[in-house]
Order: sequence, then structure tokens, then C-alpha cells
Amino acid sequence: MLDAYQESLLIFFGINLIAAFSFYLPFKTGQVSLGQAGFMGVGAYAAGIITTKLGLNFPLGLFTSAIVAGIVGLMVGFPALRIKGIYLLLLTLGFGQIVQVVALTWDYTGAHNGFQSIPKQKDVIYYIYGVLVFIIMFFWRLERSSLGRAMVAIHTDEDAAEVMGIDIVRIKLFAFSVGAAFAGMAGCLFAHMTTYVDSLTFGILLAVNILMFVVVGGGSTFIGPIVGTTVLYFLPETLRTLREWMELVPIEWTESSELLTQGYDWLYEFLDFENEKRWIAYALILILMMIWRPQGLVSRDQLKRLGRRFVGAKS
Amino acid sequence: MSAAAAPILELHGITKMFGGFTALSDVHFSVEEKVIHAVIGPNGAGKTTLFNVISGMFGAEGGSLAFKGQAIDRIKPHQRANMGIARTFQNIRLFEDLSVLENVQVSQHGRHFRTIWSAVSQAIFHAPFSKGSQEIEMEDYAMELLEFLGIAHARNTNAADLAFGERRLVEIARALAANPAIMLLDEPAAGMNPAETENLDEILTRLRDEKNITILLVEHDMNLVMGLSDYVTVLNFGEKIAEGKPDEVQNDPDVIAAYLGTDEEL
Ligand SMILES: Nc1ncnc2c1ncn2[C@@H]1O[C@H](COP(=O)(O)OP(=O)(O)OP(=O)(O)O)[C@@H](O)[C@H]1O
Ligand SMILES: [Mg+2]
Repeated sequence: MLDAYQESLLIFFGINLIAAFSFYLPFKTGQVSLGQAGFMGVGAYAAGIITTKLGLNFPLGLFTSAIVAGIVGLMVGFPALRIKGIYLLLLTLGFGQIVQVVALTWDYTGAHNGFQSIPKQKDVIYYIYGVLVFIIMFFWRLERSSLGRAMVAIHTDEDAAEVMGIDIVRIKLFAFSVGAAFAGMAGCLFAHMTTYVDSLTFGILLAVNILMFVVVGGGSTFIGPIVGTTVLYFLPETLRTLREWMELVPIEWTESSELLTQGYDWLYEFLDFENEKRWIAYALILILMMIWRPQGLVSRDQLKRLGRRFVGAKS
Repeated sequence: MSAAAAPILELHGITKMFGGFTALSDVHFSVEEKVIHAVIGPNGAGKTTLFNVISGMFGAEGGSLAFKGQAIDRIKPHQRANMGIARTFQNIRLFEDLSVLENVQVSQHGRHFRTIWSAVSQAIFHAPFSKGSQEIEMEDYAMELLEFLGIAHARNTNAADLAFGERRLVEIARALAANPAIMLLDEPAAGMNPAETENLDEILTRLRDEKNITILLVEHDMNLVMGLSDYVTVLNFGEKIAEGKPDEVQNDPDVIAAYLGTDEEL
């Protein structure tokens, strides 16, 4: 079956995807949050207290992480209702920083020493993919429902949606809070994989990464975050394997001429993607992708057209 | 219309300021049920602002509003919509990423799902591959409205991809889907060609006579207004300067003066 490396790749991919979905739900109602890493932190610490401090079981920890992060999400969501765009970014960013400060100073959970010896959950991968199946089914249904349409309407034109009878306050709060609950679960799963978290684990870089998953993949269908997370998560790994592909070229081919040998050596040297270069390449690909498809790699429109082509024109 | 019936909408001294600028000044009038009531006036008279106040997008600095005899000043925009006040926008504001059918369905949402929980449970708690009876009912009704307006053929087209005249009709369909008692139509004929305008004339007449909907109509096309309306209120610089039957208003010296020097014809 899977070796340890492959398994850990799949585990962190799954956690990242849950985090991406946690960003995607409020984003559907036009709310752009840089607080999802913070909600992961809330979930990680809440679950850590349940399992490590109270010695209760992991499923209860997972459940608690969703509930606590969801409630905190509701509290952050209220002030978030009144503000938009860059100010909402700042508010959620500030929230993330508050979480970090609490983690850094709260003695009960280890303060600056970090939250240590969280029990490792051996079968965490099953929980991760179980949560993902649940979340994907949720979005699958949502995007075919009246509530889903209302969310797109709010995203497009909040004031127009409101005079069409949509209760934008409730729907935005719902999206923000449930999104936070998803992030809380991602944090809990992460903590019980790594067994250690501290104030730096859930920082701004993670928050931006989560945002990128959705922006690169596309924010108009739940397929977007899946594609975005897949591309961005596996891209650095793929770059690393380019050299291995080169090594498959038979040596006799390159030895046939001096020029080829030199070219091969130069390319081999160039593809040294173990270090910083990997991240530079990653950044370049990101920029190119945003120029090529600023609306994201997949869109709802594209999928609808594809669907019609294959299924035929249904009413 | 019978004189005894209570007005469906009453405006008492509505005043709306933007900074130091008075966009509406002490505007009083009533709208009788099941009539087409036009609000006219030169550019910048405050007609759209009036609609924004009635639909709740703007709060007013003074005065009060009553809908079916009940004060609605403190009622939120989405609740006003669900009580039966629907509107269209002068500068078309469709949900561009949604299809025509979906645009119309959006304004059925509030009426079908009073609470967030009913909306959530409709969304997630039923068989994954079926639409569910409620969804089918909503779709059927939306299709009925699209057929009524003659745009059923465009149901799967994205709102962004429609011709201008059709976009105006989708605005009307979307307002209708909320099952309104009164519709506020902000220049529905703007940008329409004569044939489209004629079609619109017929649609508005049918809305009043067959669907018993009261229409508050802002429109610059005077042929349409004078031919269609039962009653006309005239605004100028945020003040009501006249009201009455179309022919009374057309011959009112204040109204003629207000339009003098504008490029519009009464
Ligand atoms: N949001 C706003 N902020 C500031 N001023 C506004 C705002 N909305 C409208 N106004 C001003 O209020 C006045 C009335 O505008 P309004 O749009 O209601 O006019 P109107 O009668 O609808 O005109 P038109 O026939 O051109 O649509 C105008 O002078 C306009 O500049
Ligand atoms: Mg106007």
C-alpha cells in the first residue's frame, strides 16, 4: 500500500483541502477571510485540551474543535458583516494575530513552549477523508439549492440580493461560522498528526496559502478549491521529481556528443529544485497562472457548458 | 378603483438628505391598490432616491412610510420584499453569473425559506440526486413567469449574455418572483426599441389587470406613461409639484415649467 512518505503527503493534502474549503464557504457570500489559519489554531488548541489535558477521545476532540471554532467564527462574523474588501482582510488578519498571541502566552497550553505531546492519532487519514467526504457532499448539495443561489447573488450584488428578499445577515453569518468550523477541524486533524503546535504554526503565511488554494483553483464551484489545492500542493513536489525523470535518459544518448553532455549537465544542475529555487519556480508559476486565468483554473460556467455537452441539453 | 379602498402605500413627509443636499423634501402621496401610478420628473428630481427609500436601501431623515396601513420605517429591506414590495433597477443589476432562470429563483428564496435553518435543511437533507418537491415547485413557477414575459427561451443563458431589452424583462421577472403586491419599476423602457416598448406596455397592463399588482412606475417615455398610468405624481428638485390624472398633470403650468428647457417632452 502507501509508504510513509506517500501517506503523509495525502494527510497534509487532505488537511490543506479542508482548510481551503473553510475559506471557500464564506467566500461564496463575498467574504474574504485571512483568519482561517487562526480558526485552525482555535480548533487545534480546543481539541488538544480535550485529548491531551482532559484525556478524552479523539472523535470528541474533533467535534469540539468544530463547535468552538464555529462559535468563535460567529463572534468574528458579526463585526465582519458591516465591513467589506480590504477592511475585512484587516479584521480577519487581526483576529489571526490575536489567536497567535493567546497561544504564545497561555500557560495552560504551554505558552511559548508550544502545546506539546498531543496524542498522535494513528488512523487520522481516515478521519481526514471522512470529513472531506462530508464537506464535499455538503457543497455538492448546497450548489444545487436555493441557498446556494442566494449565496452567489450575495457575492455578486449584496444590496440587490437584499431587496430581492434575501436575509443577507443570516446567510453571511452562517457561511462565516460554518467555514470557521471547517477550519477548526483542519486544525484539530493537523495537531493530532504532528503532535505539536505552537503560536507560529497557524500564522499569516498559512492564511495566505489557504486563500491561494481557492483563488488559483477558482471560487465559483467547489471543484475550484480541489483543483487549486491539488495543483499548489503537489506542484513543489512535482518540481522535485523532475531530476528523477532526467535520470531515466540512457547515458549513451548524451555521451554521443560533447554538446549534449554539457547541455544535460547544465539542465541537471538547473533543475536542482530541492531548495530556494523550488519556491522561486513555484512563485513564477503562480504569477503565470494568475495572468493566464485570473478567474481561477475552473469556473462554474465552464463546468455547466461541459455538462451540457456531455449530458445533452436538459431543460 | 374604488375610492373607499385604503391606499396600499402611503408616504408621509419623506425627506432624504445626502450631506447638505436635499434629494427629497417632505414628499407626501398615496398609492391606491391595483393601479399603475407613475412618478415622473426631470433628471435628478429624486425618483430613484424615492424608490431606494421605499425599498429600504436608504433610510430617510424625515417622514414615514406605511404599507397596507402598517408603518414599515424600521423594517429591513429583505423583510419589505417578503411583505410584498418588489423593485427593479434603473441601471440593471442582475446577478450576472447566474442564468436567467436562477436570477428569477433568487427572489423566491426569502418567501420559501423564512429561516436560515429551513434553507440549510432544504439544501442538504434530501436525496442527493433528486431535486426535491420544493425546488421543482420553485422552478415551475419561475418558468411560468419567464413564459409570461416571453423570455423562457433564454432560461439557461447567463444574465450577462442577454440583449439589453431582455435584461430589462429579466429584472421584471425577478421582481415578480417575489410575489409582490406592489412593484417599483425604475425606467423599465429605457433603452428599449418601439416594438419592445409596446410589448412592455402590454405586460404592465396585464400585471395590473390579470395579476392585480400595483405598479409604481418611474419612466421618461411620456407616451408610455400618459397612455398607461391611472395616476401621476410629479417631482422636481426633490419636491412634489403636482399630481393627478395624466391629462390634468400634462396641462399643469408648474409641470410644464419644470420640463421647460429640458430635452424631454411632456
Ligand atoms: N447615493 C447618493 N449620494 C449622493 N447623492 C445622490 C445619491 N443618489 C442620488 N443622489 C443625488 O440625488 C439627486 C436625485 O437623484 P435620483 O437618482 O434620485 O434622480 P432621478 O430622479 O432618479 O433622476 P434620473 O431621471 O436621472 O434617473 C441627484 O442630484 C443625485 O445626484
Ligand atoms: Mg433615476
